[in-house]
Amino acid sequence: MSINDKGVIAGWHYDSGFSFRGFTLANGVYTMINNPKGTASGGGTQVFDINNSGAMVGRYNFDFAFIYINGIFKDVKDPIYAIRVEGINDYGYVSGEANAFYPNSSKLFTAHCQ
Amino acid sequence: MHSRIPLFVVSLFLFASVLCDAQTATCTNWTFFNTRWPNSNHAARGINRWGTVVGNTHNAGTSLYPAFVRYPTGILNTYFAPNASATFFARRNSQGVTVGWYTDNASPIAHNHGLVVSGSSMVTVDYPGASDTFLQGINRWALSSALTMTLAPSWKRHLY
Repeated sequence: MSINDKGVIAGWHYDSGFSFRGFTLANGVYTMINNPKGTASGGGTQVFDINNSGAMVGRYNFDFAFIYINGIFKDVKDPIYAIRVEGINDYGYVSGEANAFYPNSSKLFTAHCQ
Repeated sequence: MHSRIPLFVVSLFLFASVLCDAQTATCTNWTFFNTRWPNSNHAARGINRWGTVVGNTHNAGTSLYPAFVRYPTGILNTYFAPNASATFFARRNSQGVTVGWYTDNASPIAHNHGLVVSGSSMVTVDYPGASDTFLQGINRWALSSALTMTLAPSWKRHLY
């Protein structure tokens, strides 16, 4: 769960089927943020961070990183590693873990994504 | 007329391929790094507008679980909260204030406490009535988003 300078909170919760659901909370209004690819049973969408432009990062179906910009979900992929993206700043730089499925051999990273 | 059907199918396939490509982000300027202890279980949870990354790491083979701050210059500092078995940094705002949480050494049940770190100052934040507090976000106005848990357990989200 994170909060940007405009006071918009982004995060996730479990639904009644124990799948993840992403959301934003702005001025008392909840908006669901759910990646259409996040349909796996028990999967869903987790939103980890939001920047001041409203871009968000998170994951869907446990293993797939995404960035959400201007209402569009885009996968974040590395040519070699499986990755997990957890943070995003106002310039579109993201932070996370590469080769995240194998924690004992993973590296951390930053990258510019759009 | 029949010869146009394959052409149409190929065009449709190419159009669909373009749509699929449009759903993959273009990422550049990849910078990979390890914490002080390579090949460890770690996370880069937040990056502020200056490119400073915060997270947590683990010294493999030991019970050390510190938090870290990595500056764009590559300098990386680790932090241990007092009396903590593990320390986690979640976000850092543009003013350099970092939030996170630490797990205490209480027995038989350890609890988590929110953390605010600014310079050399480290302050614990415990939400009243909650057994555990996790500070997970902070903005430039120092408003923090937090997750708390009571012994029930019942998770609640709060804004400080």
